[in-house]
Formats: sequence, C-alpha cells, structure tokens
Amino acid sequence: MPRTDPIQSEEDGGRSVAAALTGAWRHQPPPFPLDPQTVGDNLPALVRSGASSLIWRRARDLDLPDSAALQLRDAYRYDTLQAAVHESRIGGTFALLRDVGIEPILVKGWAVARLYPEVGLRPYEDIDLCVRPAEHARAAAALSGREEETGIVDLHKGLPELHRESLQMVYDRSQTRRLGDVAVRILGDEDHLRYMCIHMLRHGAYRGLWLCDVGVVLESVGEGFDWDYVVAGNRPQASWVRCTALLAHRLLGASLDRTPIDGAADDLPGWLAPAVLKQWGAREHYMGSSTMAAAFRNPAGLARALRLRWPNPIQATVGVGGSFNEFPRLPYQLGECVLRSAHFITQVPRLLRRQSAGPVGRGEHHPVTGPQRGGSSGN
Amino acid sequence: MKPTETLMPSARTTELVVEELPGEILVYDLKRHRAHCLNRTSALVWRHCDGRTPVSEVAEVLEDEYEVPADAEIVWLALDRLRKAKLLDDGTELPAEEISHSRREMVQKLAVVGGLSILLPVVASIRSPLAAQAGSSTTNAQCNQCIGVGLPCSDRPGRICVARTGKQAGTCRCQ
Repeated sequence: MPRTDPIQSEEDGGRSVAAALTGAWRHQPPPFPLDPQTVGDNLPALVRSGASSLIWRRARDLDLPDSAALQLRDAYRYDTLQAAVHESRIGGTFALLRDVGIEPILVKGWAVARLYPEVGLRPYEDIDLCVRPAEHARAAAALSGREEETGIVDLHKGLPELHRESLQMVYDRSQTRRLGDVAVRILGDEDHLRYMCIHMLRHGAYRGLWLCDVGVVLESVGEGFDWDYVVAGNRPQASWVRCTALLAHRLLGASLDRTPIDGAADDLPGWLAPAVLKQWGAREHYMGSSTMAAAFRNPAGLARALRLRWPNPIQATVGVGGSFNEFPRLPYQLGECVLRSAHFITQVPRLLRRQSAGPVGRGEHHPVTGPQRGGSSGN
Repeated sequence: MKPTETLMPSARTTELVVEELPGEILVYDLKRHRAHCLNRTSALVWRHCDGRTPVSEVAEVLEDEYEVPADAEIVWLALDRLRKAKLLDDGTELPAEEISHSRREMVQKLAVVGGLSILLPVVASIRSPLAAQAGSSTTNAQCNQCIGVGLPCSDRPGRICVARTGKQAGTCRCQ
C-alpha cells in the first residue's frame, strides 16, 4: 500500500506533479527528480495528470513500487496502441469528409501528439474536428454510422473558444501535415498555441498534461511565429494566453524564447500558480465523482458534491470572460456559479423528459447531474 | 502424428492493431476494445501461428532464442493463453490433453529448473489509464472508449454510458 503523507497539502502534491512533468516532452528530458517513494505516494495525482506515459518514460529505470510501475507502464503501452489506432482513424475520417467536399481542421489529439518524441507519449481519446458551422450537419451525416472506421469524432461547429474575428481567418492560417498518405489539416502555430492555452484554462487546468502540451507547442513553433497574433483580441484573452505560457515556463520549465515574455521578470497573478498546483494535487475532482443526482438522494454527500463543484478561480475567470490579474477571484467564482445554475435550470425540462422516458442502459439511472457548463474535456 | 508434430494454428489477423516494443508486442483488439501485452515467448509463438509450422519447430526456435531447453509444452501453454485472449483464428480448438499436460509439465519443470521461468509465456491485459481514474461516474471521452459502461456521464448531464448493440456493437456512448 502506498504511504499517504497526512500533512502533504494539495499544493505539495501538485508540486510533485510539476516536478515529474518538467521538460518531460523533450527528446532529452532533464533527470527525473522524484524518488521512487514519492512517485508511489503521489501516484493517483500523477496518473490523473493524464501524463502517465511521459512520466513512465522518465522514471522507468527507477526501482518504483510495483503498483506504480504497473500503472505507469500500462499507460505507456495503452497510449502507444491508441496512437496507432487513432492515426489510422484520422486518415479515414478526413477521407470521408473530403469525399463530401468538407475540409476539417484537427485540433488537439494528433495535432499536438505529433510534436512529442513518440506519438504514444500522449493519450488519445476522441478525434476533435472543427468544421464550418454551415457544414456541420452535412459533416455529421457523412460520419454517421461510420464509427467502425472513424472511432468517436467530436465535431465542433467552428472554434468559438479561440475568440477569433472569423473562422475564415483560422482556415487561412491553418497548415497541413502528412500522416501516412493523408494530409491532415491542423491549426496554424499561433492559433494552435492559443487554443491549447484556452482549452486548458476552460477546464480549470486540472490535467498537468495540458500544460505539457503548451510547453511542447511553445518549443516547436516554426520560423515566422507571430506572438502578436497569438495574443490578438481583447485584453482578457491576451492575459489568459500570456499567463498560460508563463505558467508553462515557471511550473514546467518551458522555453519562452519564441515569445517576448521575460520568464524571470514578468509577473503572474499571485493566485494563479497555486490554483494550478492545487488542481494537480487535488485528491478528488468532480470529473471523477458521483453525479449531483446521486448527491441529492444522499444529503450527507451533498455538501461534498457542492464543494467539488465550486468553480476554481481559473475556470471561473475564463467562464465569465474576466482577465487574469491581481483582483480577488471570489466575484468571478460567484458569477460562474450564477451562470452554471442558470445553465442547469435550462437543462431541467430535458432532464425530466429523459427521466420520464425511463432508465437507459445498465445500472442506476441518474437523470440529473451537476451544474457543469462547457464541452467535453477530452485530450 | 505425434503431438509435437501437430501444426501451429493460425493467428487472428483482422481487427487488430499491433505495435512492437523492445521485448514485447502490444495488441489492441478493435472488436472487443481490449489491449494485450505479449511477452517475448508469447510474441514469438504468436508470430509463428501460420497454420503450417509444426509445433515442435517452434519449440526449437524458442530453444535457440533463449539458449535453454524448451519443448512443446511451452508452445502449447502459449497457444492456450493466446486463444483465451482471442488472438487466434475464430473457432481455433486446441487439444485439451496437450494443454492440461503442458500445464502440469511446466509446473514440475519450473520447480526443478528455476531458470526456465524466463520461458513462461505471458499474455497480459493492459488496463486503460483512464479506467484507473474512473470512479463512480465516467466522462464522455472515457465512455467513448467503453470505460465506465453503466455509469453516469459527469460531463453530459442526465446521460449514462451505454454499450451499443447491433451494427454499432463494440462501441459505447453517453446517451
């Protein structure tokens, strides 16, 4: 049984995750700084970071506790297989959409995994594709019933989370990269970095892997990289992206050479890095917890469920469109709660209809779940 | 025909993704959404499942490879494990007597010659790293990989992860 240090705070746990991930995306990562006992003690947080394969690559030569070695090694094996599965499916999916005259853009997944020393170092879930909103229905129809070939595709109607003036600008700056015989369209470097930063923040930065993604993108951008375009737009979004790049530098040692940010002198809001570390070291998270419906049936668990769903300052600030600055975060968190509750209320009729339609699938039916906004958090 | 002259069965070749790592082979079963890791012995035996090679010849290959005495029992044991993992052609039958004999023989030999343990064939299931994180609910992305079937989808309010049937059998979705 791994020893659990009763005095270790969530922030301390987050620091262990940060140490395990520092420079982990590089061909020659720095020496692994954690001892086997610390890896064992922090295994749940390390696995929850989504970066088990990266950690295994660095720690495989240590005399790790058996359970840690097994979990991390299996993650590496599984991710290696998933990479091969996904690569073949991406080609098939692009072919299906191009057959009907639709040019999608691949976001996340292989678009970032290709930048790592091995594609299997980053986990895959579904295939995230952006298409023009006007083409969305046709794209969905083209992929319908083809899951055997494509796996699960998360089809985005444009990329509103990029906060660009027009999707055409995003297409104009996009690029293609070869994946076997297929030319896969991915975001331009500037949009890619911006997207990875905002995606991480929208989900409260709860996976360390996402900051590794920012690190690997920051260190992979090509000649002519235009930082001004990365942060173009209104002030809050510029502050999100700039702060995320600085976080990648401060917490994981990412190079900022391609940016005008001064890693040593530029300031982060005082609350930001601790909030990220707390997320990484959290012992539980609403994404892996019971639904609110279950909590309502068991009032003893209600306080815990609500506590887990209290928006963290990062998610709250981004959720209400605020800037990252030194102002207290409580107003943003309250604002985010109001928005979530409003969203939840709009969902109630649909949930009730679903409940009256009877149980679906195996197991207990949970018709009402927590007040969560936003899309999936897939990798 | 002596048991050791029996021919190897055929390996399954469809709906599998195979990746080689140093000292092992990883196999993902697209039909059942299962991942397996074959150690060196299992991998070598599986690579020889061509429906033509005699079992005894594979035992010789093992002997050459490991430079320790190996016989058909090892091959039968590996074949049994590969069959259980559904990595042999559908409907492959292995002679029950050979399998049970090979188990007994191996136990006895291992007790006498400890060094033979390196020959033991292993076909291990690989658990998804996401499954390790799945608690009392799952997420849409996890469900898409059939992790958390029957659990509520925490990021799809009111939906439950279900395994689909019919043409879409083998896939899962929050619905």
